Amino acid sequence: MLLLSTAADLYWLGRYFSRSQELVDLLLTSIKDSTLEGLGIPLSITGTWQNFYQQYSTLSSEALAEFFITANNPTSLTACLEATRADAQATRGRISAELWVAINSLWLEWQERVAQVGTFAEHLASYEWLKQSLQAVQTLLTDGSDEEALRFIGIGQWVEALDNAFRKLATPDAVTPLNTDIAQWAGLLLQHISALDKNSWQQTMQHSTELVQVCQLSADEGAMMNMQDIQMTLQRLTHSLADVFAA
Amino acid sequence: MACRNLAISADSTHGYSSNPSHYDEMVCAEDNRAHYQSVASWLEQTPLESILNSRNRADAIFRQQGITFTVYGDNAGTERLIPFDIIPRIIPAHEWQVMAKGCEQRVLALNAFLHDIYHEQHIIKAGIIPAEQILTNEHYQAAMQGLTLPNHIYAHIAGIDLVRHSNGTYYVLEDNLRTPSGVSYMLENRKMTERLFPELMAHNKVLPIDQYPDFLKATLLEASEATNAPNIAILTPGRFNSAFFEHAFLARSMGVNLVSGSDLVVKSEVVYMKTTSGLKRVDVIYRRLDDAFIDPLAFDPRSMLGVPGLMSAYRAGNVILANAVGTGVADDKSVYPFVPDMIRFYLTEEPILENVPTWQCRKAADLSHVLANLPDLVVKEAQGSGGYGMLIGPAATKAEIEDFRAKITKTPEAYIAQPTLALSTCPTFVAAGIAPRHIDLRPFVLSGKTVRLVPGGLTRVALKAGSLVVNSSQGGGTKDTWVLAE
Repeated sequence: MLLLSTAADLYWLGRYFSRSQELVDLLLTSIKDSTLEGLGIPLSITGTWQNFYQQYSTLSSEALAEFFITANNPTSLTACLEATRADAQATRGRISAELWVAINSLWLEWQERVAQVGTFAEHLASYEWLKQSLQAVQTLLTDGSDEEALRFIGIGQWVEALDNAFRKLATPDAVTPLNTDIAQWAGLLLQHISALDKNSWQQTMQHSTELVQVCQLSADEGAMMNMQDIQMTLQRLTHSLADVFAA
Repeated sequence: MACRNLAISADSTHGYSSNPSHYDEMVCAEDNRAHYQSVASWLEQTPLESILNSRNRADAIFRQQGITFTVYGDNAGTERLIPFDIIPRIIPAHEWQVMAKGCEQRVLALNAFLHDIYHEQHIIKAGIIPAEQILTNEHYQAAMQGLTLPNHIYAHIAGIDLVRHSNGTYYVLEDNLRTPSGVSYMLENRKMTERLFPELMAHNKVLPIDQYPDFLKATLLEASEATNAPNIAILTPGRFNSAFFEHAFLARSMGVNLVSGSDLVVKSEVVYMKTTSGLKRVDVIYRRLDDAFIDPLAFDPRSMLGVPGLMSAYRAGNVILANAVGTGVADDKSVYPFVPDMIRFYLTEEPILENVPTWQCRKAADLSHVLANLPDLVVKEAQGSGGYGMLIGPAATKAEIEDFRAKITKTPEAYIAQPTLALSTCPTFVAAGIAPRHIDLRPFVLSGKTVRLVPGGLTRVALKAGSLVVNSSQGGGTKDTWVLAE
């Protein structure tokens, strides 16, 4: 038996955790890229061009590395980790003690590192450290005997993976995932959602099935994805999740 | 030979030296008490640097585990550690047996009192407690009149605050019957000591306390008359509440759901929680919300934390609230002086534990005594808690005393006064080394079909030299409490 509010917190825990992983991977690639196009990819994906140029006059590796840890950027790694930690705290009556301690420790150490970083090399080292640390926590997110709790974390992670993939597809110069991969992720999301109570989650299941169908179609035909259709389908799915959470 | 550990400062040559006017838990005259021998030897042999390292390690672990409380006010939302002193407080078996029996006796009487005042009111009719002191009390809930609870239990979870005076006698300082907190720190402090000093613990034959969550769950299950396995939930004000860690800790330890008011709904006088598979009935709610906030339809209509209709479900007998509504009247400080009489009245026994002599400012003679002796007394708000709204006469300025004089004169019924007790001291690791600091003890008493206590409780310690205020909200810390096997 899982509370709806706890399920919502677990879902967002999964989303913010995956967002942190995706972002740190992206940044580690982009900040080593000397081209403006490469440096601009994280700003396009997170929709933060305007915010960036309100704080910096020139786009550079150094500025980009700093921008994604500052408190002035609501899409920063710091913001993602803080949200992850808040969701873990809200669900600490349910998640394993090991998972809570791992996330809390990661957040505490990140805060200490952020307070001390100065040089570009230090930023880079912090990003590398974060990537490794998130990988270590990931195993705790998928292991355990509490299937219901893990299911909602999983739904959050797959929704975030798909959302991130579609953002990349909409960004010129970004390295995009294969259509077949996206179709597979949509299928895994459907697997998680199908295990939910049919009476409460009927609408979500329907949207998840539709998402699989549109993704599969693109994968089968090897064609460019119809981005608008796919994004609308994902949006309907996330809205239906939010509707049930708020019931 | 008493423990002679040196202070941190290199030029200091003073060992642990207790104040002879206070009872020290470790040292008596120049010798260590028998039950402290091994800890005293350990302290003597352990370099202060090593103790400091252990304390720092404990702090780091507590921080990683998020064993914190949330600060209100200017720094709202900030999470802080409750300072943990790594030197345990030790209680020998024979002392604990008396304390445990005394606490059990007290809680039995208090539950009988609560049942009585919401039913026949024998104790009022017998002239033992004036009716107005009960019936006009802010915490007396008329809605509870005539409502009979399973096992006649109102205070399922009670925290009894004990102090030891300079004569070595334990006194009950106050009874906490609403939402007593601190048990999670009792349990986490023990885990920390086991982690840091396993050999010391093994050598001392310390009685275990880790059965507390099982005891609590058994108590809550016994509170319900549901025929199938009763469904338990802990009701929290939310993650920004100062005690949220404890709420989550207890939920996880018992394997029950931690709910906020918005997770619950009342339909046809039955309480349900909103789950991923629809509504599920709730049979027992261990609520960590005060009466005023639990149901905006029955109490404070501004409450956003409670559950509309909860009281109607409760009155219909469809859900158990632990603790019951209206227990606050029995832990009011103006009712406290009557507890020994309650024990005699309901149990026909003499009290095992003594009360601190108390002057009730509502009585003219008591008021006159209090006003004439303010610099020597401790004055408390009758309905206060957390160490707030207190005057400690010997430590107060003239202005503070005059401020209290004005308040007491204006509303005497809102205050009680007690002599300033010389709380016992216990060796505590502070910046200057190991020094005596004043302590109290809060054992937790669980009342179901039987009364259950784990051996020990939460020892709170005033970290400032000479301070008598042990509350964590006022800078106090905690210690692991060891009750030794015989």
